[in-house]
Amino acid sequence: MSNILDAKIPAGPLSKKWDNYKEHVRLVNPANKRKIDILVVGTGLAGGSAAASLAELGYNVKAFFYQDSARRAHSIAAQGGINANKNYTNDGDSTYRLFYDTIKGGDYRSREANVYRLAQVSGHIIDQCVAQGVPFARDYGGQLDNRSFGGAQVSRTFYAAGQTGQQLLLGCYSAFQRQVGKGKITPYDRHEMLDLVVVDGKARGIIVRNMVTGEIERYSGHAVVLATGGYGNVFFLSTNAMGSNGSAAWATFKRGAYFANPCFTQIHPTCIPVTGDHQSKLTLMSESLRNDGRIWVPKKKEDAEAIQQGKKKPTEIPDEDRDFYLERRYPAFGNLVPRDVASRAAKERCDAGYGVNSTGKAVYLDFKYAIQRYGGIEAHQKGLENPTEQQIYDLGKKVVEEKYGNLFQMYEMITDDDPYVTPMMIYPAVHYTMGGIWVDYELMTTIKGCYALGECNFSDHGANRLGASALMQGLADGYYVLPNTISNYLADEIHTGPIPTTLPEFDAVEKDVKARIEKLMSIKGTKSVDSFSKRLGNIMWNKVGMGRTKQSLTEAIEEIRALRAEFWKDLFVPGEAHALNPELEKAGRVADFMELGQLMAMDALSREDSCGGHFREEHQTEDGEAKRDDENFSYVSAWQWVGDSIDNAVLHKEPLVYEETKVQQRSYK
Amino acid sequence: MSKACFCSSSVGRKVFMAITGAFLVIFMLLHMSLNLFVIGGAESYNAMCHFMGLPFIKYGLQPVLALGFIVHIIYGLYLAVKNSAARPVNYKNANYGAASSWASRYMWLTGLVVLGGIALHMVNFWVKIQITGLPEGVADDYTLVVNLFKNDLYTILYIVWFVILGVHLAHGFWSMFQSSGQAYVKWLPCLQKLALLYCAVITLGFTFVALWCRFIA
Amino acid sequence: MSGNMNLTLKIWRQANAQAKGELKEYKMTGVSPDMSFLEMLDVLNEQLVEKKEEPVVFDHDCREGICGACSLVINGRPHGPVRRVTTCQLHMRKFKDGDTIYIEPYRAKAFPVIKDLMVDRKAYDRIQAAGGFISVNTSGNPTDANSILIKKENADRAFAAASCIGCGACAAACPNASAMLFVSAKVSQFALLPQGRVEATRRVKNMVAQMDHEGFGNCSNTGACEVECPKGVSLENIARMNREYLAASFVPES
Repeated sequence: MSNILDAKIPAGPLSKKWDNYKEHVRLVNPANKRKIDILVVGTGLAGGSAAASLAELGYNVKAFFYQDSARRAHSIAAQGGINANKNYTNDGDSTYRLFYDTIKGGDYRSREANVYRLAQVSGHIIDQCVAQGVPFARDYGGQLDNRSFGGAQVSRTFYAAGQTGQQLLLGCYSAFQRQVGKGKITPYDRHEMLDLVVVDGKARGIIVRNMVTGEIERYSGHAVVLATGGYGNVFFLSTNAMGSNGSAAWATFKRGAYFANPCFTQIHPTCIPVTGDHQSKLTLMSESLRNDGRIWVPKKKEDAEAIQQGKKKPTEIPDEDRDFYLERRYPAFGNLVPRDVASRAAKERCDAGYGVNSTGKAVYLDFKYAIQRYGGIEAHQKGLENPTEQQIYDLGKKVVEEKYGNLFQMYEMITDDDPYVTPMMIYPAVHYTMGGIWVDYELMTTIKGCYALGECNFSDHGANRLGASALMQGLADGYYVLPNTISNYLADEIHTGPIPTTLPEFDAVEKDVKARIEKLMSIKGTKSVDSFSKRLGNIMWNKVGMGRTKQSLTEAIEEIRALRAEFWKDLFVPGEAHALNPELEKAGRVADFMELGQLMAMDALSREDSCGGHFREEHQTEDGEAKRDDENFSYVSAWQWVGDSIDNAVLHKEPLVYEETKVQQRSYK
Repeated sequence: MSKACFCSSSVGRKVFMAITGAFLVIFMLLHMSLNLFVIGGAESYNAMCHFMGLPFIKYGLQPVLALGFIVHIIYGLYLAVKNSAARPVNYKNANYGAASSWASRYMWLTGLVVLGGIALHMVNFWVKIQITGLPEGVADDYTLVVNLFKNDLYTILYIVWFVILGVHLAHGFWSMFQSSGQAYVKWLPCLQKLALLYCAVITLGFTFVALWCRFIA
Repeated sequence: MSGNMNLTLKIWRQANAQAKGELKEYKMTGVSPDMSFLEMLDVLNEQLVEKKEEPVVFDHDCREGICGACSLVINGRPHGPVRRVTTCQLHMRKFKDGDTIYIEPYRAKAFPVIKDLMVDRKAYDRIQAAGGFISVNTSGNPTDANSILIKKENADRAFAAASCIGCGACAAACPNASAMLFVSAKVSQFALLPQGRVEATRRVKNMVAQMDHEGFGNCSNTGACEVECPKGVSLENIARMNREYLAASFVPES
């Protein structure tokens, strides 16, 4: 193990590590906190909660975000809920069980100590959010309500209708704005971080672009905290927000931070499919729908083709001609297999030509059976003898409406199809990136004084994230982990004093930034940023997506290289650099994606096994399941930028040691 | 703590509009009841007018009423001006009608029309009864009012005036509950019906008196 | 899959905050009814870039109706003609072939135009900073979440108020450019929860003062905000805020 990848896991038994750490960590006294500036980039759950908590502690925080308000970060779009180890339901939950489920869900590719800490603080998050006025769902006794989620056998998910992310983020945003009002946080809206300034091996500042004026600005601080989210938009179409990007993380990578597990991507199985070339993003339909919906495609190819050409309707296919492929392949779990498995199975059917929309890339999620079943139960309860089909349908529809009405409405709004009558169409879509900047136990990157939080770091989710865990991790990092660990570094900074932005290091980095913008503007080619972004997304989706092979990955690397060369030769960016210019913003982000995409392919190529969201088709069991190779690949891959091209990136490995978990193979048959 | 005082805050101003509005709502009901004395003939009407001219009403209540009017009008106009300043550049293709009623958007206009009507009413009627005394040749208050309505133009103007007042009240009535924070969700359906009833009573009541004078008296 | 709709767009173009803007006409052909409104604008922008013209600037981000970034006044209505929908979820099938569509930025003194259809809505952030919070620090030893019981009805109503996405449609729709629905939703959410009651008096006074300071108009109960709110935030919140404000101003604190 190279020394730089020392995760600094505290000594002692797993359950005592965090307490031990907190009891012995160095502190900064209140008077000295006032002398310390911290730059926080991103205001989602991780960045927002970190900024608010650090400001409450007394540090001076400057917060940067590309949106017009801190409340708009994409954490807001999370639907389902947030896990916590509360065990209010008395169903046997505990810190250990949440820890174990998360490690297992991540297919044994995450760090034990980090995940255990996450499970430990999860309960505090709920307490903190309730104190902030987050209106979680409650029962009639006035207590918090729970629901169950994928990958767990207990009900530990707290929720606020289908808008849990929104409510948590607004709670966090209110704490953030409170500190803005007090002058402890200075918000920089519509500011995009373009580069990191490192002075004597320590992160000392950032270079940002004021997106309204186009000015390049410098900010200095004693520590830099990145909470800039994931990089799913490298696939062009994803459930991410349009502005979500990996550029701040990428710039930090180029300045010396290692990038971990870049190939671990989560593809969510239930999204509304692509309808045309003009589509800009994909919308998620909550995983909970798989409880009652049955997934199928036609058994006969001619039926599938007829549907694709619009000559046949799904309702005209009789039951015996329907292929309920999940139930067929996974009789034990049926439609409730984990996300990665369900996604791959859908892709397999569509690739074989059985897809059901005009593009051939969709499968049905059918509620006909649920409506019939619920209708029958209702009719029985109402004492109806020999109910008509219509009566059963009406009664059943009512039950389904109560359970999923909101989602059905949203589906109808987008597709103009009534899912109570025709089955929903769904298809997998990129949703979350488990990979990210490598961090140690303190969430510090390999650059001193530079931290990464939330989806931005390589996280606690290993190779696959469980539902309702992303919100938990973001808030754990921001409210409870970073505010405790950052003082260990800042204790040495109390004598540093204000850091001037006139240092030569700032000059140098700003020069680089300006030169790149100049270059982007001066290509004056013929093709738009979006056209490149779409082509990159295509390569990524087809060759570095749900199923990867050595050949597809090698091809992807070549194609991305060629595309990148074309990008720098034939891009056209309209407008000016020194003004509001969304095309220029996109150009910078896509330029970085062109490199990040390649690194993802390189990482996937280096990992000669399958685990979680990373599926190498060469490495599968006889029945087509992911086959892990723990002997050779039980490590965190951490890539280092070397020289001036992504081609030279060097792979380092942090071995994963499991002391308290028994490592097993997963099966859902 | 608070950076502004109640009276100058947007909520405070609205509460003033609501309180003075409520005061005028009650006054209108009273005024309409008084008008109905006309149906009782000359004697009853003249007695009522005499009562209304008693010093404690003339010098005690009427100034309070006037103050209510003045505050309502001045605050209303002030708010209208401020509100139009809150959108210095308007939409080129506005479509406010899709989301709100005409009555709610043109309170300032209906208010001004009503004000005009009040002025006409004061000159033609109130001044003569309470200040200058009846003009020559008019026997009593009853004759004055009945004669006024023998003029078709006046009667039509009078009815139009009250229809516009009805429109003003249609929004004003529930508004006063909303502005003072008393429009509880559970009460809303009831309030809406009450508002409709009130507007109908006021508009139809005054119109009835006018038509009665024109055709029956 | 491109479609068959032909549209005439009249879009507000304004180079920057100081510039004088104007409506410019664009012809769109082959619009698919399955496109969202913003995807239709993406296509227009792509065409403009191909012609080496500057694309139309507008705010947008999540494109699933929750971040509140998208705005636009479409044919005189914030977020367009369909109720309970944000612009990003409005689909072109709600329009007819041959339609002329006016697209303008939000108009309010407190929402100055930055460029084209993009406006500055920071006034809402400042109102939030004035009091839209519960004064509680991140605690190392928090009280258990179930230690204070909250009536389900109140929790549900607080949630309904909290579902506001801060998009600014209320102020844009209001004939008076009043921000009362936004402010009252925040005031209501906290006033309905026991944790928020502690500083309810202070909160409502400070938030109203900041709202007035920002230059929003006065509420005249037209109800346009509720109609145009993509999340259906209720007017009941405004009544509650008025009530809270009255009480805060006149009921002596015990």
